[in-house]
Amino acid sequence: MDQLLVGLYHALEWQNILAMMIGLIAGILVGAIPGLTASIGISLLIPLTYGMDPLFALAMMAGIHNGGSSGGAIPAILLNIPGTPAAVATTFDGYPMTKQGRSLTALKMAASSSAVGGALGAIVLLFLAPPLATATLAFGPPEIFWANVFGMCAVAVLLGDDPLKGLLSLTIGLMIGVVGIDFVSGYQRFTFGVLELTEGFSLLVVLVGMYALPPAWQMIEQGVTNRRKGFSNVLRTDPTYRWPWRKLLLNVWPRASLFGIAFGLLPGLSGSASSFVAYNDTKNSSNEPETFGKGNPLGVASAEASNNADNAASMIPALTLGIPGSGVAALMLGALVIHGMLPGAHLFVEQGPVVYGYMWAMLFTSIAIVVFGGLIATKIFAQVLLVPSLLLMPMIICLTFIGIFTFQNEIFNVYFMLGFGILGYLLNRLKFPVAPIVIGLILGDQAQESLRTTLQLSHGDFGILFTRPISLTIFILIVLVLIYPIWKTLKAK
Amino acid sequence: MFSNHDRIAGIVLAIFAAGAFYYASETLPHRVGLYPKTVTGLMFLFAALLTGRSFLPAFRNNEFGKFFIAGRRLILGISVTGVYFFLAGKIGFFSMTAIYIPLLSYLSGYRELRTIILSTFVFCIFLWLTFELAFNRPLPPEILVLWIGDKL
Repeated sequence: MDQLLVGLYHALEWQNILAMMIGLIAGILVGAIPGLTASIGISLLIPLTYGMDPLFALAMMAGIHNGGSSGGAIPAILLNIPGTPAAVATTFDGYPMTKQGRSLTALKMAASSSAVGGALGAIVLLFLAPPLATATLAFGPPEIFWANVFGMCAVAVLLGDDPLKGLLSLTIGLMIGVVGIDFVSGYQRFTFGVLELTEGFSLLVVLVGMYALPPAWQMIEQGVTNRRKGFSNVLRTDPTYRWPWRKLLLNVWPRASLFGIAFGLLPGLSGSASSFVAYNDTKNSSNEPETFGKGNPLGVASAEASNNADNAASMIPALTLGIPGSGVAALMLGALVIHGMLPGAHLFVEQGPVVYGYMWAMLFTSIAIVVFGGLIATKIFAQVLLVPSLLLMPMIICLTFIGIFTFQNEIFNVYFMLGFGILGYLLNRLKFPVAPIVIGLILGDQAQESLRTTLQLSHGDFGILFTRPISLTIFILIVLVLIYPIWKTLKAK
Repeated sequence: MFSNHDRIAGIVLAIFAAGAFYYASETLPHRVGLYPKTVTGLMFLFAALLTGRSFLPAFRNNEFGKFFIAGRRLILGISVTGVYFFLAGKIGFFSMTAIYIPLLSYLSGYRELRTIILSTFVFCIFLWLTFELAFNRPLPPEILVLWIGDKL
């Protein structure tokens, strides 16, 4: 409890509040531009905040994470183009509302629902993550090894559409992690005598290269100019609409948020899946299901509440076990590692003020969506859709240069980033998920280290990995995760 | 045969994994090479499965669209970016940025010159104020500007 309050105290320092607000505004802007997501915003921010106070950096990322999800609703409602994948379900009723001249009502409903969903997810994060992390204190090296393997398998198999491609992505990530000096023997692996490779590839370089460059090139390739003349004639409110507070507070928001939280906790079930399920649940439990898809504001409310509740919830397994619940959570995990924080119980003990401060930042930035996204700036944020993406993309690439160059003042990192950008682009086109690469890079080393420690403890006997109850349980879970896609395929036949 | 993208990806990754496995076997001592060989072995296995799967009836006829949406534009984007990264490190960040943004925007098809020039100018000023002045982050020095300054 003390740590919780210390975290609150730190989160409320003026510079951290400023970071949250900057992050939130940047996140909403990034989310509002189709093709850009919170992942790109966070990947650009990680190198720029390297060396800064960790809580300042994480508070800003919390803002981008929540703002990015919420901002995706703006083009979904105004243009029928989801700004982020999670905003697809928002288009079902959001765009019909725009066509009916009720776009401002839809945008305000989206912002309020995002705020409620995000806040509920953050509250669960604040109260569920610490005890879960404490439970991991019972983990010895064998359990840590299996937990790492479980994290990698879960993300690889469950996060994308194709488990085989997920597993291949994972091995690519592990392979990238192999390059450099072996930390036990000091032997160089796959460095080919290149001095710059002796320390291996920096996680930061891989993250920025794979997350920020490919979308920029894709937009240049598509030649999207999105030249629009403005939205002043579209941004209209419906003065006759009475907000169904009772339905929202007692039914739609809590239920949709619960779906978001549950989906966020499980790796592989991303925000877009939760928003579809929550949308269908609201529709099926409604007295007038025929109005959904034709401009029912409750459809917007359920989709937005669930995909924002997912944000904080997906960080629970990431902070406690190193298993991210979503692609953005994988990136946030990378950010934590870059700032010197490793997931698990020790994170909450050694970095208590920072990690609790971050969780409070997730809560505050969710609540602030009401102010920034809903009440004050909806009209302003809608104007971001007028920014020509072909002009914006080179600017994003310039920011990646600054971030990676200033990280170690070494130009070769920029060249490596370019290489990872090209690799990321090719993998994107081949529909290989990127998150397993990041997880392989983060958890691969930890798994290797814990396996070596385990074998040292057991004098080379592998039996220790299967005889301890927790190890065996996690091992069975891994087998189940790997069998799941086969079972799913057989069931479908 | 090669219109199936998964098949090509599988073959390329299998060749890469086999090469890396061989390299690890030849150059690394047994204990050091154990982990890399496990990783490359798994990669080879999954790549072989992906290739094999692409011949199954259910996957053989998968619809694969054009791999590149607009190949020329993409190559342009990547090569201009590569040249920019190289020259920004050699000649100077701001001078190259001032050329790169208008050039890439224009070549990609955005033709509103006044907006391009104005946005580039504002963006460069913003970067200078933020990174040079406020955060004091050292960026590649402006060789071109220094050289012109010397000449003047």
